[in-house]
Amino acid sequence: MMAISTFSNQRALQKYNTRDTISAYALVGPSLVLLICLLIGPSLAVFAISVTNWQFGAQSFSFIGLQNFRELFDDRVFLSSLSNTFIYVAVVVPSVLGLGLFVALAIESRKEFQAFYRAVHFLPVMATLAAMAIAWEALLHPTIGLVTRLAVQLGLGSWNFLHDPRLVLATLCVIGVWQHLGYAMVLFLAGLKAIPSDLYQAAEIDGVDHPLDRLRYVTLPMLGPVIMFLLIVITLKALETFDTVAVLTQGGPENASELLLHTLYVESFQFFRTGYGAAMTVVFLLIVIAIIFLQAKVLDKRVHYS
Amino acid sequence: MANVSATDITKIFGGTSVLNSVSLDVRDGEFLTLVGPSGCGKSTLLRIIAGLERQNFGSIAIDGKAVDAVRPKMRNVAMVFQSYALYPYMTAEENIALPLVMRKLTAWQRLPLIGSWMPGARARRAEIAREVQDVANALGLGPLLSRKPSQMSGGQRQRVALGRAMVRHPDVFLMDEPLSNLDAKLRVQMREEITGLHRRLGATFIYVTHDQAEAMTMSDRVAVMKSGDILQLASPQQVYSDPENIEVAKFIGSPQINLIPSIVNEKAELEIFDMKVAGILPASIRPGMSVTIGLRPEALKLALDDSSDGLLAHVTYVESLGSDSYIHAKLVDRTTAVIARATPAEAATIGNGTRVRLRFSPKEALIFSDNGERLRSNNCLPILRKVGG
Amino acid sequence: MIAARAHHGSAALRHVVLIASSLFILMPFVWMVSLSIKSPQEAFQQTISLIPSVFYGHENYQRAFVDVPLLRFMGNGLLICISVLVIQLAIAAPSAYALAKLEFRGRDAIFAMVLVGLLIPHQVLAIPLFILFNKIGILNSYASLILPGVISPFGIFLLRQFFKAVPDDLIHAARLDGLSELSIVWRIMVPSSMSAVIAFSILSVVSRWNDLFLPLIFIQDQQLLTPPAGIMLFRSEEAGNSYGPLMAAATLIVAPLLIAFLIAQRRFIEGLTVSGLK
Repeated sequence: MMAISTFSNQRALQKYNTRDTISAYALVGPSLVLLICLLIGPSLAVFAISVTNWQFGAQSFSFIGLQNFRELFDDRVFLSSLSNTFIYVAVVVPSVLGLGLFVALAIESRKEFQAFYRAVHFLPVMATLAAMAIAWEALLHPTIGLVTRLAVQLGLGSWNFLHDPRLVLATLCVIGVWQHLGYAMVLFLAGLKAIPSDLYQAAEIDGVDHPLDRLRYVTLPMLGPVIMFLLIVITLKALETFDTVAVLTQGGPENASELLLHTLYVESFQFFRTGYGAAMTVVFLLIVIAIIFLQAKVLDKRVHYS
Repeated sequence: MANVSATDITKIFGGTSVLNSVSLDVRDGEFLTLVGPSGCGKSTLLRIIAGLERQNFGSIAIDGKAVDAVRPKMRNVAMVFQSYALYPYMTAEENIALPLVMRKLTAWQRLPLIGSWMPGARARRAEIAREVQDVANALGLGPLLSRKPSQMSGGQRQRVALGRAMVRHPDVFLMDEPLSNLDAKLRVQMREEITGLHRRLGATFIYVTHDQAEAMTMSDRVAVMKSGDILQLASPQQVYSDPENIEVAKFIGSPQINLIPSIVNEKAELEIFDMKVAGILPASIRPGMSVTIGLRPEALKLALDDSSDGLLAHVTYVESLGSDSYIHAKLVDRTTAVIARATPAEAATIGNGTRVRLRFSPKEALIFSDNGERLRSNNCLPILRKVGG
Repeated sequence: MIAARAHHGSAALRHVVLIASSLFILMPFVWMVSLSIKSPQEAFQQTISLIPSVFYGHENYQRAFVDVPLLRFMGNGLLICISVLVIQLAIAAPSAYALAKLEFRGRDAIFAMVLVGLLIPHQVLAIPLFILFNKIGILNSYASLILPGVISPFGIFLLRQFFKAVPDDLIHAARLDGLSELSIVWRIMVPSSMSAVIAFSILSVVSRWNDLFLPLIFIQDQQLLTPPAGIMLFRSEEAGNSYGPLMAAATLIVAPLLIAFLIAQRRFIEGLTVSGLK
């Protein structure tokens, strides 16, 4: 085969390629337009709005630089919201992963009632959280609550889980664990199923026969990718906690249950301080991105095998 | 060093028996292969010997001592798995070291971070590292020790799996189809390495494979299994040339043995189509019985059609392998297919449709009864004669 | 013998552990349903009982429908879930196909944008979308709840992963058979990746039905609220004195997805796992 391709068939080929590209863009076009208009564009717009003093409904606004951000870090509500959010994430994420793995191991260890236990633990993942928050409120209610009554009857005194500033964040954490536990459990169950039995047998011959050793030398390392994935997903879900705060506490009492997304909502859509809300949104977004990158960087190298 | 004996091992899975009271004695230092089609129970037997599965009845003894209640860890056996079962998150070095780590270090010494500060831990760790290095050098793994399994080729993973088995100098090596995930060329090379390893270590090897060529080339003795029974336990040569029954004859040898139906006539001769064979029959044969004649491809010699004896056949296909040729042919009933081995020179004179005679020495004919039992003719000298035209 | 007994012990321990955690999980559900069938007097009695002495469910559930337009809320929820899902799939599938199987300039850049979109929590978009919807006059309408959901980077990503696994030869054969690129998407790619489509549909519907954030921001008109925002309204209006009807409403809102889950449990869990581990 010599270089037979003449100028004209080069052109024909090029035309062919162009037609391919056009049809590809016809397929991808709607996504691309919407992606830019509804996702990428608005995300960038948040940055732009965050450096203005815009209040929704106001006739004019002006560029104020980083004023909003400076104000944020003097804002007691925002600062306690920020620290509450970190505490919330730091409690919920390890608890969900730990308990989720524990429940998954317990379910997987024997055949009886596997499907039943799995279904029960998965229910909160499906249930409308706003409605379930109301159910939790009824459960923890000072007069009609099952839990509070039980506490009284067991002589543990009376508790006001949702209105005591020392208890309210912990209560939200418990509900957060309740909500996400099933998700972690289901992914752990899938991860456990995917571990080849050969590996456990080889480990047994190698002398790994204590259950804790088996967990350390085989199960946990093999679950590495699942743990990594859950760490990111549960962290994001915890950061995005909104419904329980909005329904149960509105951030109170004394801002003790103020979480980032709720503060952002109040500033932006109840006080309509749009520029200020946008600055808060930027902080929220930066935290999300930082966490994703941090976890991806730190953990990625250590958990991918194949 | 140890011999291994299995006595009346029965294993039942969900109501069906996968091992039917199997007994097996493996001599000290022997390379014994369990060979058979998939589902014959060979892997289950190996796992029972390892202690990974419990038999329902029967007993396993290693070095004369019953080990039925002994955990796998304490049986002093090592195993190489078909999938290698390497820990994907550990380097080659860590993989090989693990059996030693679990045996030589206490639970305290194995703790992460603080473990290495426990008394004696460092010396033990250094000792383990030395032993791992020795094994790695012996297997040519030295430069690969810091790699993870995903960064290694199939052959290298295979060597790491061997290293993990070797490192604690077990009395018995158990190998479950260790070569079946390798490509053909590497498989032949690894066969050699494993037999070399067996010679060097002098340990007892029990090797499971479905590949009869591996069984034939590597083993001291071969146990041919089918449907939960050991059909024959003998040297590779013996299972090939002197099989106990038709299943063994069929399973061992490639291409497969030729099986030709035959009838015993009133004169106690075998009638194979137009050919009659006398004198090779065992005394137990009765006239009118139908039997099957087994002939290895190399037992059939080509002769031209006008030759005076042999089985008449039509060539359907000539398969040339370079050094040898296999002649595929149909006998006169047009359904019985046979394969004969020929030299390239012989094969050159033949094409599809050529009529040939296939001659054989009755000595080499294996006779099987209808239920597959081998019928031996030890006290008669065979006489071959052609009857009729 | 000893081994068998040890097995027994661990089985019992497993049940103890799992029953305890199941009680924790089920507690709010049980109390919710229990209150929804109790009379107000009984709800405030100090004794602890799950099953009421007088069945008051009829009254409570009836009032749940009368006090707020609960059926309307649920209808709104259904309408929005379905519209969003249909548009999401119609937009995501063709682009997932192009990103998985076609070679064209800019493909990697577009895929990178999808990945970036994957990282953006949708709450971040609330302010700019609020402004945008206000400008084009669709605040406080179904459109304001549908539009933010129509583009799903996750959907594109998930389908692309599955489409990549469809053999190229299948596409080549389809082209030789005269199928257009768009019909390849709907006749070949989507049917052969049904498990991903179902997984995505489940996740989409569940997250849309349960979302409180968007309706709270974009909707003022009570008639347009979705169930989560509706129950919040109900609660603030009733101000805590009629727990029976409130719990009845909560039960009714939670019920559809839970019933769907219990019927098609395997599908739901597989869907979640599939999307999680890809």
